[in-house]
Parts: sequence; C-alpha cells; structure tokens
Amino acid sequence: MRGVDLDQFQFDFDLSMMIFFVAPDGTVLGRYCASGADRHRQNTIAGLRRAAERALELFARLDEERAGLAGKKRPSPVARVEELEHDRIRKVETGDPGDDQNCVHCHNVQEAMNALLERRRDYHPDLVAAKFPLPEQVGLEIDPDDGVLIAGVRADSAAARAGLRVGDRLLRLDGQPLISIADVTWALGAVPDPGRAVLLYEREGKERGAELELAAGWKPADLLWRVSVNRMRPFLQLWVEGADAEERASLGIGDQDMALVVRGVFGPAVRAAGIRKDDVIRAIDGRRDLVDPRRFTLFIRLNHFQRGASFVLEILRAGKTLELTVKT
Amino acid sequence: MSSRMTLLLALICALGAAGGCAKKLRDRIDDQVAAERWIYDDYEAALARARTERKPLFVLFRCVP
Repeated sequence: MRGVDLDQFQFDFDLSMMIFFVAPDGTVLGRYCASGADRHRQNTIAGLRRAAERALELFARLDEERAGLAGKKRPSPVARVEELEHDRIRKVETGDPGDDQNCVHCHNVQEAMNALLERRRDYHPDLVAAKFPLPEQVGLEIDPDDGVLIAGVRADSAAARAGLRVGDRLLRLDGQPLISIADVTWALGAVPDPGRAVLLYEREGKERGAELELAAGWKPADLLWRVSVNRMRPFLQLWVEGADAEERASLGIGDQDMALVVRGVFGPAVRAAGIRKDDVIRAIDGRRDLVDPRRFTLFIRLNHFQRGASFVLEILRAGKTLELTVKT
Repeated sequence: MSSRMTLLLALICALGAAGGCAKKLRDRIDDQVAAERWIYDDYEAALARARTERKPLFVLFRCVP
C-alpha cells in the first residue's frame, strides 16, 4: 500500500482484496469486494462480471453520470499512506533492515486510520464500526451473483418499511449509481446516523423511488471479523487462546464454558495487573459467555476504550480462583 | 465487444517498495495465465495508458501471501 493515493483509493482496508473500476480521468466508476464476516460467500465470479459490465455501461455515458459518480470518492483524513502513523509503515519508509517483507498491508492502513479516530477526544469504537455499514443493517440481502438484486428483505427493517421487495434491483443510493454490494456499502457509509437515504430501484422494468428512514444506532457494524480490531484501543498485548480439549479435561471445564488460556503477557497494563502465562480466564466483568477469544478482545475494545478504564478478570490459577483488575 | 468497452488491468498490492518491485510482486504472486495482461504496481503508468487507449481501468488491490 506504500505510495497509494488515499483520496483516490479509499476502501475497507480490512479486506485482503479490493477492485476499483476507474475511468482514464480518475473518476471511480465502482468498487467490487464485499465487507463483513460473510464476504467470502458474497464475492463471486458472476457478481464480479456483472459489476464490470455495469462499470463499462457507466463509462459509456460518463459525462452524464459525473454528478452521481462524484460521491464514489470521499476526502481521506490523510492523502497518502506514508503520512499515516504506524510502526509497519515507518519500517517500510525507513528501509528497516530487519523487515524482510518491505510490505504495508491493507489492514495496517486500517489500523492507522483507526488510530487517527482514537486520537480524537470524543473517540468511541462506533466511529470505527460505522465506516462501512452492510446492506443487512438496513434489512437487505443482496444476491451475490448479481450485486444489486434484492434476494431478501428483513421484516420490520428500514428496507421493508420503504416498500422494497425481493426481485427489486437497486440502481442508485443518494444519487450514486450502484454496481455491486461493495458500492451499496460505500454509499451507505455516507448516510448519517440517524439519517435518510434516497433509493432508486427497478421493479418489473420500471424505475421507482423509495426513502430509507434509518433510526439512531443503525450504522455501527460488527467488528469481529476485522484484523485491525487487534490493534484498537486499549492495546493490551495480552495473548489468549481458547483452552483445547486436553486443557479443558484436565481443568474439569465443559466444552461450552469460557476458558481462555493466557499464552503471553506483554503489555504494561496486563503485567501490572498480575496476569501470568497459563492463567485461565473464566470471566470478564462477570460475563462468562465470551468463549471465543476474538469476542473477548472485542468486548474490551467496545467497553473499556476510555483512558483509565478498568475491568475485572476472574482467573483460574493452580486450582484457585482469583480476581484481577486491569487498569487500561 | 468494442475496444472502448474493455478494461485495462492494473494490480497494486502491499509490496509498494521502490526498485524491482514489479518483478518481486510478479514472482511472489506467481501469475501463470494473466501475467502479460497486467500492469503491475504502477498506477500512473496504467492511467497514462488508459488515457491513450481511452479505456477504463480494472484496478486490483490484493494482499500477497
């Protein structure tokens, strides 16, 4: 990602692949590659082909589409990747001899973008989570082989209230022509929370309009699938894994019970709290349902992001249960 | 399909280092089939060619394993 113009190429940097269709004058015609935990199912060859066909159609009438296409770029907080603060970017920029990859990954950019948000006084993890809202958050399931064809409408959702139905084909959102699921996500990212979005869609060969009324809190998406979550605030440097079958058997802990084994304690806050390697975390703030270590990490990011925040871990160590308080 | 209705292919990735990057990139991703059609890691060159040929670009960002 070194040297990439972020005003030109903004996308969900937690993805390992992204496609842009770009006119020779730099106008972005559209994007391809879906976000979210279900992204692998949503990226299909058929869907990519349809997106490319639609991009070419837009290119053929570029002059008349310029106003709508303008929304496909938004100013980036920084213009170029090398202006972001991140240890990986610094290593690449300085030619660190210990860095054999010489590589700035897309998720490194996302981590640095998150850090920009985290430096704000009014930081909240929802600022990160709201950047790329998914169609399902407004109640839409989109056919991945088409990219804009509605395959499902969740009852009592904003999409249902707007009158959208299975078989409708999305054409524009707030004036932006849509070629793919990624385009829908990008266009939704510009809609306020709470807010309203104007949709143009096709039903039985006729174009129709609708308004999505989006209630407060509609926008933050689940962060769990994102690699960049591991570097969000607080950055505790605590390495935990779910106990394996052998460990569970020796501890007498059931398969479905929370048992996160501490594999490494690196950060000052977790060291100061007295956490040790091989401790088994049985609860955090009384929660015993965070069986997945990624969900445990995310719980801390979402609930203890403020400086000076603290949380309590219930720990099993050498057959004894103890409580440790971590101050971030 | 007319020449206006095709896409130029440009591939940009994490290996953004100067000097020999394009070759390093091609070696790492080991493209067997489409290699001759791609412009590797040089968006400005791709854009210049797009202007000359009046074709839109298919720009692929991908993570190199």
